[in-house]
Amino acid sequence: MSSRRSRSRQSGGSRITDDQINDLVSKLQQLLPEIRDRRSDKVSAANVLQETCNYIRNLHREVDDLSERLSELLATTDTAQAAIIRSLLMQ
Amino acid sequence: MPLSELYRMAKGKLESTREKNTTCSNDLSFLPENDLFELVWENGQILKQGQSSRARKSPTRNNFQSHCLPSYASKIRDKDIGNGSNSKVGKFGGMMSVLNEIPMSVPSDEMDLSQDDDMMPWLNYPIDDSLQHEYCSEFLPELSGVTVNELSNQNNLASIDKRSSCNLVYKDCHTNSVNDVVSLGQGNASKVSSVGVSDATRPRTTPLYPSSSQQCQTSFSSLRSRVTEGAGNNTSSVMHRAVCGDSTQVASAAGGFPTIKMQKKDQMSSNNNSNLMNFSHFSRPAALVKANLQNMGLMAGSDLSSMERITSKDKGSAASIKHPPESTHINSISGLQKESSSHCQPLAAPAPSKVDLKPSEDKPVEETVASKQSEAVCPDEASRNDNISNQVFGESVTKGLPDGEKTTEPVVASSSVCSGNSVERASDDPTHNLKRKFRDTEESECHSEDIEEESIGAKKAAPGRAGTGSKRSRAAEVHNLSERRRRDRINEKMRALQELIPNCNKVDKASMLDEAIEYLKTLQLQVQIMSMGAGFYMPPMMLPTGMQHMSAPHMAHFSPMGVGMGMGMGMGMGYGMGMPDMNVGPSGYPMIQVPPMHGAQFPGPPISGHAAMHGMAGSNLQMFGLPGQGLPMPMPRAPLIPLSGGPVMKSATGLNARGVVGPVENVDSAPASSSKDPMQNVNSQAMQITGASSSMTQTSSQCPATNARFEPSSLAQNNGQVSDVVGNTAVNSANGNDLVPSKPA
Repeated sequence: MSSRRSRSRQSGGSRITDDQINDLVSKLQQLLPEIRDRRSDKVSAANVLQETCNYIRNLHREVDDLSERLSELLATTDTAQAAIIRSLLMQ
Repeated sequence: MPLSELYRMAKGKLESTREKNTTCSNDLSFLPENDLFELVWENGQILKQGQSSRARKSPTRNNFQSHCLPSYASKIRDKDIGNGSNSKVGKFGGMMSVLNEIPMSVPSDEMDLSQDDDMMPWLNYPIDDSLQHEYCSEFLPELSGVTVNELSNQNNLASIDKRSSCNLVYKDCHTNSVNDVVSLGQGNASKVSSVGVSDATRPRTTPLYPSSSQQCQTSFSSLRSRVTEGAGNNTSSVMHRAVCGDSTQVASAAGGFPTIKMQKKDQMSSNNNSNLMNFSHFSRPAALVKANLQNMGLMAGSDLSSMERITSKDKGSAASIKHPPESTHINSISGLQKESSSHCQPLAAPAPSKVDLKPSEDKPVEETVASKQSEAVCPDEASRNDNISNQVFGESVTKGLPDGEKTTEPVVASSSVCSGNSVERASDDPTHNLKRKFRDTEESECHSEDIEEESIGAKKAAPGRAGTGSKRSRAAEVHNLSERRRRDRINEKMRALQELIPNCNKVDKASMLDEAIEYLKTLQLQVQIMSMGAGFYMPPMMLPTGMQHMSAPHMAHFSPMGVGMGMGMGMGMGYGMGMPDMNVGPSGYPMIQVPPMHGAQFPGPPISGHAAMHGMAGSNLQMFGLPGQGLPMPMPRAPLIPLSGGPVMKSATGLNARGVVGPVENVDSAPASSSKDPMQNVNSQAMQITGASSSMTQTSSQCPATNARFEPSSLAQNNGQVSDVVGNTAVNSANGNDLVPSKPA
């Protein structure tokens, strides 16, 4: 009995943070285009976190790709602006 | 002495039962299957036989009985376990007292209510009224219950109940000496009744299984002799003697069933006496009981094997002889209670006798472990084993005998206990067992109690509505497991996320998620801005990307990136305006113009995304002029951007050649302006305000005025405005372009 009680107490104590975390997870979900439109009750927290990780990795890749492309563009453009931008970017 | 009286009474009953047995044996041969059932129940060990025989003969009956038996067995086992653990002893003692009282006066229903949780299982069992009555009668010392039992299968069930109750009483007696006396009396009565039933059943069964009946008889005789011996040994303690005597008497009268009780009692007494002699005696009875059980299983399994079993019984007796030392060891380690419980369990779970073989193997290990833990663990293992063993009844029985011989009796006893639990569980479900095991492993300490509770629940469910109860418990277990798994998965993802987020030292989940959300937002903005920039710079991409990026957010992104707010603004504006001319020379102009803008902006490093972004977005959405005002304020560079927005608007609304010109000049001076940032900011703010006002209220005609104002203002101001204007103009119209060249020219 005591063990059960303690268990329930623990769960009760963690419930508050659970709510907060659920809130945050739903917010996080709204930022994920992959599961943004899905019904929230169908997406588990673990799923959201997994998607978040994937999404962040994708964004990182995209950023790297774009920065590379931008630098290329700037490098290939002869215009004065390009030169300026390049100098700015180099800073 | 009440004990002595009870003892005498029990003896008298035993004698009567014996007589009945002798007489009944002949009559019983005629009895049908029902009798067989009774035999099983009464003997305890016999129970197994009965079930097997029943199962073979009539499935429905078997099921019902099996349900009842398992539950009882489980209860008994639980109680036994409780006895084993000191903490539980108190409860059991209470239970015992309750039981004792109940049988005397309270009906079965009342019994249930009054009884503790442990008792509840009994109540839950779907026992017919008739059964209950019988049950009550059984509880009573009188033999009336026995007669009822003979009548029908229900009677058999009642007898089973009686047996279980007797077992409980015995156990209680063991734990509490005082209570024991009373309980013994009751137990004796119940035993007597059971004995009577068993006697009747035995004769009946004899026809069907002559060999088995003979064996039982032989075993009984041997048991009696042993019991008598045990009693003699027990004399050391009056109390013990009384108990033993009762048990022995019962055993002698009932035969196999009594023998089991006797064993329990003997063990108890032995525990109290702590005499090796007693143990040896006790061990013998136990061995006999075991042998009987095995024999029973064999009988049920195959008549042919009965012969072999008999031999095995002989072996079992030998094993029992060996037991004394072993039993002593066990006692020293785990205590006699365990043994007693193990003995009781065998009785309760007669059907599982077959299972004993495998359990026996597991038992040794369990014995080594703490008694409580071992009990808890054993049930699970036993259940598994039971399931398997059930399939291979005949084989297991045969094997069991050898095992018993090899292994010490204590082990056998434990196995029997396990088997009992296992039987119950097995009946419930194999998956259940697995789950239970899992939990046990996780939380061995807490589990002992939980297991008991669960087992009770399982027992309750098992009787008739086993389905719902087991489902419920199973669902709970599954939920727990899945919950744990889910949490683990989340934690794992959290860790992965933490690795992906730079500078995230937060241990707290909530702050971790907060950080992740913020980081995601900034990443998204960055990507948008960068894509904007890329699109902007890519001529072919310009139109589509430009259109896409027209949205305020994109504009905002640019500023943080530092790529070129001016550029973005200009582009966005141009496209937004939908000026075809823009395409012609736009790229060049915007580019040119932008640089100056950047220069101005960059000095104050890329604007922190959000403020600038939001401002931009707002400005874009609204008319540029208005937003620009608000935005610029916070950020020094922001002003520049907003300014550009303002001018753009103006240009969009009505481009002025002059305005355009102004911008061009500004562009050229932009580099200088960058150095003047602070001044520019101030000026730009002022400019913005003016621009905003102009955009808001003034029309194209008003624009000139604004321009004029700008001109007067410092160069820096002009530059700021100019840059904005330039961007707008460049994007918007060729006129701007024309103007630009003209200026330089």
